[in-house]
Amino acid sequence: MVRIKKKVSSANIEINMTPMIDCTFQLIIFFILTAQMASQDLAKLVVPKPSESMALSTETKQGMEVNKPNQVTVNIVNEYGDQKENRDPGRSSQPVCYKIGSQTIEIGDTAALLDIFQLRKSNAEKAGYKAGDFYLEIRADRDIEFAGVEPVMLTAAEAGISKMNITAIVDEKMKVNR
Amino acid sequence: MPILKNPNIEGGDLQHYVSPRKQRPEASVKLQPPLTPMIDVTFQLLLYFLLTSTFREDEGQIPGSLPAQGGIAAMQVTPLKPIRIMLVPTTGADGGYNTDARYDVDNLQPVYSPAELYRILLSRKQAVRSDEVPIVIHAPPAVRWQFVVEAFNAAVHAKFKNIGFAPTG
Repeated sequence: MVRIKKKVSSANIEINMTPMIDCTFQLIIFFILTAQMASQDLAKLVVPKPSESMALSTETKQGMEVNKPNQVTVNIVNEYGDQKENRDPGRSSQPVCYKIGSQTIEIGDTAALLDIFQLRKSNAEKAGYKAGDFYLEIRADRDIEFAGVEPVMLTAAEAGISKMNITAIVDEKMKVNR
Repeated sequence: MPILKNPNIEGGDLQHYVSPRKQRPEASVKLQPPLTPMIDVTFQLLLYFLLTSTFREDEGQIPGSLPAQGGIAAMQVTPLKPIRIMLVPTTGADGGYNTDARYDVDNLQPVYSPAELYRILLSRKQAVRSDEVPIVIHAPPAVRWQFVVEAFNAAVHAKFKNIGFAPTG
């Protein structure tokens, strides 16, 4: 008896790529929408996270409107930057410098701080803001000693700034309760 | 009757005329653009976003005020006695110095957590029935900013309007 072998035709096996491409595009869109733009005004540091934080979330932190004419943001950075791990837990840290936008000011140079505060304040007034509407935003690392932050407050008070905001992490639960 | 093509016959190589309407439709050719380069680029983009994205917690501002004249210690003059919060750096659970803080309210009630501090401030506010009572935060130079913000936040949470810092010097 002769066996007749059936020849299996080499069929073109194609993988359906459509669902994979769909998923990939979904992921890309997600990353594009959630990515936060790096802003020059936001120096690398770890912001304090108080329990039941009353910090009000603002759109300004997402990059575009951070340079409001009626505010001056002072970043007080330490040697760790935005590194959360490998910090010495046994000691508070000293500030390395103050950063206002792209400007870096040495610690102790309160004269330079005062000049910037006064210049920004007068620019805000020229832009139509009232003197009382100008405010200082302190964005300091959580581990910095208070001695590194206090001179900024004192200089701002000397420049006639009456309002101050402290940058902290927003508590999502408190948003609902507020 | 159709005329067959036969080159041996004179005129046999002529094609019989078929009207366009009767012509057989050609097999539809599948037009598929090459997907491979697009998938390559898409994966490149995906990898880029996966590797570069860092998820940050949302930052916000706790509103406060600085006295216009006279430095930080110059609080608004009110007939109400201010509530003083003294921050004391303490040894934390891990044994390191200055890793935790104690909050002494008017040197009477030492509290060890911001939640307790908030409750005390709230009860004080209810007792005096005013949110105009000045809150003065006394922070020693060595205390970490985190604990200063905790005290400030507790006062804002208790809805006090007049919160300030005492000078360290």
